Amino acid sequence: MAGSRAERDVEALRLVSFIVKDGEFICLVGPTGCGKTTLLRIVAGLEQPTSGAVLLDGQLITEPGPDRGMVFQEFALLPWRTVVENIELGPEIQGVGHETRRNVADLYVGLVGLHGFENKYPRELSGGMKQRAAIARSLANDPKVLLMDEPFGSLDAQTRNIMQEELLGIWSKTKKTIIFVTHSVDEAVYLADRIILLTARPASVRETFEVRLPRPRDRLHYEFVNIRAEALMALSEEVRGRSS
Amino acid sequence: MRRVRYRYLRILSILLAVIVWQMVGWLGVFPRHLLPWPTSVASSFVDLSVSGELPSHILTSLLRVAVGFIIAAATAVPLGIAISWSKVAESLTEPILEILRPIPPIAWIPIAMLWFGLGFKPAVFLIFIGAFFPILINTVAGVRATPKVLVEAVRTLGASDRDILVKVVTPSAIPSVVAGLRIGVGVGWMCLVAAEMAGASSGLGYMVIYYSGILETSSVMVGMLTIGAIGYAMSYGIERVEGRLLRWRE
Repeated sequence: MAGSRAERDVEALRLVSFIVKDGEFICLVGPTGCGKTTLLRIVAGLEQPTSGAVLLDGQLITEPGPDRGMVFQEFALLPWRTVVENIELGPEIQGVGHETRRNVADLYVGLVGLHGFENKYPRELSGGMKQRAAIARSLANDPKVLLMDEPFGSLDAQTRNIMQEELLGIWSKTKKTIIFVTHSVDEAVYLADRIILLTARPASVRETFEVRLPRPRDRLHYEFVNIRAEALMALSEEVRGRSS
Repeated sequence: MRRVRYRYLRILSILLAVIVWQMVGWLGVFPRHLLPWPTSVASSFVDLSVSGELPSHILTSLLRVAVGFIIAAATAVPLGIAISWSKVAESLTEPILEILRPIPPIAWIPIAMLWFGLGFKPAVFLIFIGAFFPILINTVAGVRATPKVLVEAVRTLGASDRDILVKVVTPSAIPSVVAGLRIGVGVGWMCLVAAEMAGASSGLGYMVIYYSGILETSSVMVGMLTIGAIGYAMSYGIERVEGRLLRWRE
C-alpha cells in the first residue's frame, strides 16, 4: 500500500507503504494531524490519492464499498433510526430481504452486547453503546476489512478500556482484518499485532513494532511496558522534531 | 402539577386580554359602535354561528388554504431537494427564484385577479405564492445541513447516490422541512385573508371587509378573531404532528 495525498496544496502523505495480512490487527499511530486519518479515508475510498494506490486482494480501490467497513470517532449513527435499524442498514442497501436482515442485525446486536437496546434511538445511548452499535453496523455488511478512525477517542478512560477488550473479543470471533487509527500508544500496544508508527506530516512510515504478547494483555507486563516506552519515545521525537 | 399551573396561566392570559378590552371600552376611548365590547362580539359570534354564515365562511377559507398549501408543499419540497442536491438544478432555478422571492405575496393580488378572476382560483394562487418560498428555503437548508459524516458512513456501507438521497439526506432534512411547512401554512393563511378582502364574495377575509363596510364592527371582530384562532390552531396542529413524527429527536 503506497499513497501520497495533496489536500489544498498540503502534502499529507509521502511514502507510506505496507501490507496488511488477512485477519491482522494493525494500528496506525502518529502525531496529531500527521495524515493517518487521510490514509484511512483513502483505504475506505472516501478520498482519492494524488499518486499511489491501495489494493484489496489485488483489486484497486477507487470508491467506498461494502468490502470495507468504517467506524468513525463520531459514531455516525442515523439519529432517526433505532439501534437495530441502524445495524441492518448495510444489508438493506445490498437488497437483503426484511426478515433476513433483521436476523443478521439481531446476530450483531448480540455480538456487541446490545441486547435490550435494539429499539432505542441513538440519543438514548451512552457513548460506549453508540460505538458498539456503529461497530455492529459495519460488521453486519460482513466486510473483509474493518477501518476504525480513533473510534474510542471521545470515550472516557474507563469506557475506553472496556471497549478495547470488547473489540478484541469481536475481532477473535469474526476474524476480521482491522486497521485501527489512534494517537494513543497505549491503546495500540494493547490491541495490535503490528503497530505502524508514522512520521509528522507529510507522513511516511517511521517504524514498525510487532507485538507478540498473548491476549488479554497485561499492561504491566515487562514487554508491554518496553514496547510502549520505545514507541512513545519515537512518537515524541516526531512531535518535537517537527514542531521546532 | 407545574404543567397544570401553566395551563391556568394560558387561560388567564386570554381572560386578562378580555378584561383590558372591556375596560378600554368603558373608558370610552372609541365609541362603542367602533370598538364593540366583548359581550357584543360574543353575541355576534353566536348569531353568526347559528345562522350558519360563519361556519360556511370558515369552510370556504379552509378549503382554499388547503388546496394552495398542498400545491405549494408538493412543488417546493421536491424542488428544494433537487436544488440542494444538484448544482445544475441550483444554477438553473436560483436566479429566477431569488427575483420572485422578495415580491410580497400581496403584490401578486392585482395580477392574480386579472389572470384568475375572482373567488377560489386567485385565492389559491396567492396562498401558493405565500407558502411556497418558506417551504422551499427550509427544505434547501435542511438538506444542506445533513452532517457530512452521516453521508460518508452510509457510503462506506456501499450506498449509491440514490440510497444516500432516500436514506440519509431526506430524513435528515425532515425537521427543517416541517418547520418550513409550519411557516408556510401561516404565511398562506395571511395571504388568503388578503386575497379574500381584495377579490372574493365568500371566506373570512370577505366577511371582515363586508361587515366593516356596513359598520357592523362586532361581526368584523368575530371574523378577525376567527382568523387568528384558526391560524393558531393550524400552527399548533403541525407542531403536534412534528412532535410525533420526530420522536427520535427529543
